[in-house]
Amino acid sequence: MINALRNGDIRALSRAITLAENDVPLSDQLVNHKNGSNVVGITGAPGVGKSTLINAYINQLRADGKTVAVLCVDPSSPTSGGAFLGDRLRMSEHANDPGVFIRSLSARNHLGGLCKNIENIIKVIKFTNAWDTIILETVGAGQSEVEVAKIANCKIVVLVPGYGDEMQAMKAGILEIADILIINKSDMPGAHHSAKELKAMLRLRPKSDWDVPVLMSTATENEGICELIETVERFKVSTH
Amino acid sequence: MTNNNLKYPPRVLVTKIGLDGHDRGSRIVAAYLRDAGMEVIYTPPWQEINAVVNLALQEDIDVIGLSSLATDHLIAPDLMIALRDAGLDHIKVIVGGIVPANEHGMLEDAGISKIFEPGALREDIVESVATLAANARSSRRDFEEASL
Amino acid sequence: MNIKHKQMHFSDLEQSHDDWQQKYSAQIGNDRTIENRSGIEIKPLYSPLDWSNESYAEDMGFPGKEPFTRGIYPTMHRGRTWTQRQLIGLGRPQDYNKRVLSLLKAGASAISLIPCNSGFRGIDCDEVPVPLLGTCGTVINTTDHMTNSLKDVSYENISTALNDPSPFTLFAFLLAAAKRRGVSIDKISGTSNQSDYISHCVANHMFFRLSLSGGRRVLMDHIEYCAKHVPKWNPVSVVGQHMQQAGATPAEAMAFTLSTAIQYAEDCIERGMDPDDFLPRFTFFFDISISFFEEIAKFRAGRKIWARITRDRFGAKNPRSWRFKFHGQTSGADLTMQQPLNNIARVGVQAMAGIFGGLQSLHTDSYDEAITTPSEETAKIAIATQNILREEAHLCDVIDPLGGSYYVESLTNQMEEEIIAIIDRIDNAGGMYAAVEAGIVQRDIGLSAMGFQDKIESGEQSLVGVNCYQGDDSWASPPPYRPDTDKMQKFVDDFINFKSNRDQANVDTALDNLARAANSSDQNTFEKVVAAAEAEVTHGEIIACLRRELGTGVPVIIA
Repeated sequence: MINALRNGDIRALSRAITLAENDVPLSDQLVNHKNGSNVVGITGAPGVGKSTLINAYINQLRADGKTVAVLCVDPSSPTSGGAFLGDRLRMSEHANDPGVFIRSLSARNHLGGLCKNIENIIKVIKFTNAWDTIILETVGAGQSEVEVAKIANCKIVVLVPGYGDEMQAMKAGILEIADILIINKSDMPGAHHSAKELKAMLRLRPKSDWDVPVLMSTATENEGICELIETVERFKVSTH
Repeated sequence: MTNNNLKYPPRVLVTKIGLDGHDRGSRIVAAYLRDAGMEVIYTPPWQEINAVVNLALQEDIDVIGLSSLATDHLIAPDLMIALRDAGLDHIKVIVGGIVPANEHGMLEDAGISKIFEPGALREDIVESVATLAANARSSRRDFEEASL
Repeated sequence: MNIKHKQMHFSDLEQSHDDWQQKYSAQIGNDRTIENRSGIEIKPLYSPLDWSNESYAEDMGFPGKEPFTRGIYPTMHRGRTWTQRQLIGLGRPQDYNKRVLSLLKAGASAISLIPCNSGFRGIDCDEVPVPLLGTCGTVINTTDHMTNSLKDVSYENISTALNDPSPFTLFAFLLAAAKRRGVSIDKISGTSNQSDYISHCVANHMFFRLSLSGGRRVLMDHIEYCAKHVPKWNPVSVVGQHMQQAGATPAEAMAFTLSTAIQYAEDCIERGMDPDDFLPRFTFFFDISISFFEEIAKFRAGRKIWARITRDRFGAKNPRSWRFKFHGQTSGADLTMQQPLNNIARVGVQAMAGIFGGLQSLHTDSYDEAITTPSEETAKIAIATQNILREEAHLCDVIDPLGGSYYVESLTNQMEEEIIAIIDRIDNAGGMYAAVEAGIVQRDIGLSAMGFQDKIESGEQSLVGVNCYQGDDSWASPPPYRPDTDKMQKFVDDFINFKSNRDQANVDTALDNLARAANSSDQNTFEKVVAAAEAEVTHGEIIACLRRELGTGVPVIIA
């Protein structure tokens, strides 16, 4: 298994993720492996277009010759424990691209929205040295943002214009963890107003080396994606 | 949940290959399986066979459920060959939908594990998928070791 | 909208009703609650306490007069009977042609054309596994194919319904074929069925063709083009059928369809068109389930609501704009694979519901339609079913024969309220386009599909041969229709040859023009689709071009 993983065998990777997901402990060589993959967390409420944004993001990374692994975490049914994992259907154009690996994970009622062994799963992916970027997609619901913050190098929070009250409610969590804010569906009315509002809120945040930018995108039209990728890169440089 | 001593929930892909777009049946079956505690990867209709194989590979799928309303089951044997070529012959495939009686044999010969026709009962579908998922796992011959 | 229906209260009537109620309750024992598919509770008896004709003039009126509850024409079926329009599509163009000529001989008065699923998928026959070609519809990828499929069929005298989603390539092929034959296109009549891109997106059938916004653009171009050049053609058929087949309740299907029509009308108005220029050419297409009285009430209510919407909301002045013209198709989802001959009885009941509902055009399913593309024999039984209902059962003698039934009128009012409540909800969500983008409609349909399935599972909804009276599987299932794969392979080879022998420069120019039109705001894309058809560009090439320029659709699937 370990050799197959190292050789980039996708079947081995897929199997290893299943094992890690199901509490199989990692050996020291996986735990201690060093790898520079950029782990980008993308979070946001249902309906903001996260999967479409990620799809456009993958397109751009692939155009730049980068490989990308995507982990989509979906909530599970609190009663049955089962899950309906449908995020990847918006990324189906990458189905036959060997430079893209997509895996759907159920949160399995783990508190915090992510799945319990997500850190180990990311270590498994890193161990292969095959993936330049690892995207972690989660539904933004309260605590999960905080958990993403521990795991991802760069945290992107996706919003849509006119969030109003909901945005107010979310802002505490957002302001704490976001490295980048992006307003998707920016062709909708109110986008610029929302951006202004967010920027005003960010000014209340304590000064730091990194000024959290508020970007705009229309993922369905591929707009704003290059800027997003540049910003992620800039953030990576600034935090090193 | 019917779990047949599985250590973790069955991972099931519910999909449609070929040309037809009607997905009422596949959505209902996907919901049945989710409500029975399974992890269901769902795709819209019109999947290419290669895409289904890659998806099954990346998602470590145990059972594939193919929905067929209008003759798309005719290319199910091509999926079976593609799965075998990808080294995924442990995955069990079932077909649900309109499969005329005289075409059952062709699907069985190709290695389809089970055919569900309209009127199939929820508990039969759930139980069958759970059993097939257990079979899929025990018939796996690659990476049998459960350590990392 | 808020409509209150008056109820009459007579104290002595109430007294005798109470007397009956007491006797009823004493004798029935444990009465079960019955709900129709739309969730409306159905009582054991209806009387003047539920409906009276006090507001007859305002609520119902006479046939041909708004709000058209009793029918959109003064003569209805007693005058011109409904159009018998059977959906057909199979095999190659020459196979289709043979079937069409035989059905016209059997009494069909109009034709329709269902393309092969590869066409719905937006690709040509050379991109598809041969065994799948022509199994569910006819392969038509070029103007030549259209010409062959309509050999010996009059272009001017027979109205044609094309199952032809955006960007309407089949219609473009038909226009190009007509021009070749020397028929002026302003003589062509028929309907672009399935022109309703929203219903396709919602029922997840054809989302891969074009993005929602692309579908919106091309539909408007198509409506404008037809108004200008093909005035006898109905460019829009708003489709409730897909949604009801996908699981929407009858009330939801009617409401979502009307909300879709509202969206299209608003889009046309936004383009600067006058409601009276386009509304008379709006048509509708519905599923007719076996829930007999509910379907009748659905259609009567829908007619009433549309008349009010067109007149009051859009300010249309021409009475033709207020008329709710619809084609009905007996529901395939009600047919069973088990004991297939039973489907003949089901179709008869469904067809009656549509006829009493006042439809303008009817397709009756063949009994094997749950299993396969109908054979010639089963298709003839379906046509005979219509002939029997009309000629032997005399269903056309009286206009709106169930009008005035306490039950039907009361149910019509209840369905109307239910439908209006759903339309209001869609309005509040920003209209149908926005509601579909947000997945609201898809979610509702999914939940209703699940709810109905639960009723079948629990036995609350009986299905003869499926969850009751089952077991007799000795009934012969008709063998499924499968085209001859050798002939089909030859057809594909001919198509590939045809492509390499075309004037490629013509093809390239036509595609360039199409792409340019798609990217400009003042050119009509559909005009360029027609030009492409004339330049021998194929179906798949046209769609690929528009998909590149206008984007591909993304399904919104809500668990």
